[in-house]
Amino acid sequence: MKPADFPSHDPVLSLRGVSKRFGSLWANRDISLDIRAGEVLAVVGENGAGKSTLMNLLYGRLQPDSGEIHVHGRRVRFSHPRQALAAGIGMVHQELQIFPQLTVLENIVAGSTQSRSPWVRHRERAMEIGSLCSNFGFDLPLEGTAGELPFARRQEIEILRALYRDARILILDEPTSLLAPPEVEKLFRFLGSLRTQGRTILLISHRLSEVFALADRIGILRRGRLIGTYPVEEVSREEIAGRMIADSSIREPKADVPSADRFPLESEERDTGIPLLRLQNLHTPSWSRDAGIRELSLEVYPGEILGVGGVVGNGQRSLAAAVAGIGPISRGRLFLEGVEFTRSSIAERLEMGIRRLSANPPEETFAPHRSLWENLLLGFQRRPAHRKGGLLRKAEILRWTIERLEEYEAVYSNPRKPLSTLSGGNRQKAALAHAFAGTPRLLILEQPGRGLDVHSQERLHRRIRAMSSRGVSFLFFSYDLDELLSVSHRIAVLYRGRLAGIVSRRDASLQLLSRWMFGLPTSDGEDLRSREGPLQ
Amino acid sequence: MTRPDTAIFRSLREAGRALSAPLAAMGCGLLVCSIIVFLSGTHPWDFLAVTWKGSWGSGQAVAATLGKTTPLLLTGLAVSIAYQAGFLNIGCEGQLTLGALCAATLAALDLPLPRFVLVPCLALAGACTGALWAYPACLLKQRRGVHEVITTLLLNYVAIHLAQFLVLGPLGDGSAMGRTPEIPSKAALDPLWESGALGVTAAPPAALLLALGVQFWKSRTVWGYEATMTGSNPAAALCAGISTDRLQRRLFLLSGAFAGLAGSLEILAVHHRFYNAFSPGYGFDGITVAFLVNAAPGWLWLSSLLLAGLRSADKWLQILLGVSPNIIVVIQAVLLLAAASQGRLRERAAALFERTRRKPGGPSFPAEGRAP
Repeated sequence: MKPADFPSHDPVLSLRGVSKRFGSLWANRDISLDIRAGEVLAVVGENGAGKSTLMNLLYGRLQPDSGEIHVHGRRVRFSHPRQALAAGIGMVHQELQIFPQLTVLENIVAGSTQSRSPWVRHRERAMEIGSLCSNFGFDLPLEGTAGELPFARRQEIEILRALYRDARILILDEPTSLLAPPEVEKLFRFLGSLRTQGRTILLISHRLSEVFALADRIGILRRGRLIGTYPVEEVSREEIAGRMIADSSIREPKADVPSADRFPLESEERDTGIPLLRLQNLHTPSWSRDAGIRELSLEVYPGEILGVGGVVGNGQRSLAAAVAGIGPISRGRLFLEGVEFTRSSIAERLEMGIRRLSANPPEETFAPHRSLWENLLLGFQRRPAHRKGGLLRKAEILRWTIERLEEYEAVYSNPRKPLSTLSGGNRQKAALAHAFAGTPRLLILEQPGRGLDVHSQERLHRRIRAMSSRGVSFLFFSYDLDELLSVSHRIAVLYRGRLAGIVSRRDASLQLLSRWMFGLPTSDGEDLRSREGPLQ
Repeated sequence: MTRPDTAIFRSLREAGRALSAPLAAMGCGLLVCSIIVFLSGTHPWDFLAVTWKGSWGSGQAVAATLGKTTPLLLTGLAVSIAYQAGFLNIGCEGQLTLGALCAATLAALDLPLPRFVLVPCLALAGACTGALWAYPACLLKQRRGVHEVITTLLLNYVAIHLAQFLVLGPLGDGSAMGRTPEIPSKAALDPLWESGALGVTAAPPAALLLALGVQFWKSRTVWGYEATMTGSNPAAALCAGISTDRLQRRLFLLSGAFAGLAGSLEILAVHHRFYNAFSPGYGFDGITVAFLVNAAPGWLWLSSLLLAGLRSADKWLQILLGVSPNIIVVIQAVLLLAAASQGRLRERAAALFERTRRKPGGPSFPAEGRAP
């Protein structure tokens, strides 16, 4: 480990030999670390390296098996997050912990121990939080229902909740995974201002560009061990990426943002015959906190990867759900190879080869408390290979499950164990294994890279491209423009439920896409409209 | 470090897990009640001895216990199967009452059918009535989103009072006793084995077979798998193309049918006529029976035997010790509380076990050891 950079300051938070074990797996092993006031420490590592465990130990959700944690020089033992909060540690979770039916104000004050009075004292609290909001430059509707706000605003609620309890140390677990670029910028500006106030920030992220933009030091976890901490000015992205996986099979370390030329498309020319998927004037009501789709017409050709971008909540979820048959459709028609399937059931669509990877598999695709094999089998239980009459062929199913999981390099102990025993990244790998199983023809992928580390993402992109060259088509939803630019053949951008524009990758640029994302007029408007045709 | 994962070890482990909870709960219940009994001036040992004698200590006691096992096992099965689909059916009491009334009324008609046709038909008629009584709750849940706990609970009282009205009026035997006419002997189930005044009919083994059948269905069939997944996460099941509404409706009706069957078998095997308020709360006890074994159909026989034993011991406590039979209700309440908290308790116990096991030898490291 590097010597202290600010030797004059005592560490606000220090860990001494902290270990945590789950069964035979060391999630954290002998971690010693000092964090100083006003410092931003980013913790990076592959999926399952132990980042979330470490944060949960600090936040009192888990208790270390051995080792000590000191806050402001005092040894602490948190058995509950409440105690961590009292010690000035706040956390912003990757999966936001919000009461969707309560107001923003209620969400922020819920569980607050600031006053011992039994009354909520609504007006007083509203004033406190109003001034807190204006201090930090947040513009939240305090009386609005939290569940109706877009993701970025709900995240602000969680940040404010921590600040309202005067958290001096703020832990953020993958705060940017569901944010659009300008929202990320806003968040980072805000975190920067917290730092100047002397607050300490612990950040988990998979995106090295963001880590380098914000952090003072980077700590690398590998298989539960802290490999070291490095001041940002002394290391390069390549070095960090390399150390994260030093001994893995990946050949050369790569930066997290693949530039557009990293994945050369074998052929830009595709079959321009019958489109595999055709949407004709599709119109959907708003669905699941999403704007809904207005008058959308587009085609996806066989073997084409159509990237769909846009700011969160601009119709992406409605579009994915409508094609998969889960969300409602108010007008318009859907065709698969010229055959209409607007009214087909979900089962019929699965039969046709339309499969979807949802943005939130534990809630929408899986039953986390059931075993791995039961979860992977979901939707495949009626395939002839998996049953004999009405009976399940367990041995065959277990073999198939293991095969699927190994193919996607998910780390698991036993296919009979519940899905919930897997780490976040491995759960996503299981979800990929589930979505890609069988013989899909159209894959709807919503944020498929979520929770995956850099290398798993790269493998995923490679797999998508290999499948597309075999004729599988993709609707690829992502909030990450770089990812869209590196993977897609064409990119469509949704703005308020309408198609803001569609462009082939060759002609696409970050500037153009981000203008579309925010509904800004493009400078060469005439030119664009001609590009909006089906294909060049 | 890896524990053996062969089929035998797995089933042993599963059996251990399934057995530990109800037995531990039973131990807690008896302990708490021993303390209560002791405080009221009776020696706990006498209390335990009489409880044992009353439930298993004589041929007659065994016959009484087995007789009470049937309705408990079936109502437990009803609660389990609804729970599997994600519903809580606490309306078994009403479904059981109306099922019993229907079977008793039809049996009293003395239909000219041979015995081997008549008895199954009567049992089935009771099952159908139970399913019918469960249907409105299911309909309200699926169409209007009314919570099934409210509807099934309230429908109990409607059913009980409806049965009371019918049995005192149009369906009664004319006495003011609140009962239907006695069923002809060819409609009644004969005892296979007798001890004193009590006999054991074919009903308990039939109920056991049914429960084991449901366990097989749940763990081995495609339909059972789909039902389990629907109960665990309806949204995910829907996305996988399973018609969850239809599946849940079917399981809910099946749940009502099991409760109705409990009622009709009780008439055919035990009472031979419908009495007003003949059920001492078998429908509600089904909830305890089911959750004592975590709603696993394959283990319901155990929890229903335990509860039936307690039920048949209660009058002996009164006769021999002068202890109120309500003490059994206390045991049952402790049982349910212990069962409800078993997940948490097991977690604690496992953590404790891990800690004690790891201490002496120090941590053992998995093969890893790559230096940075």
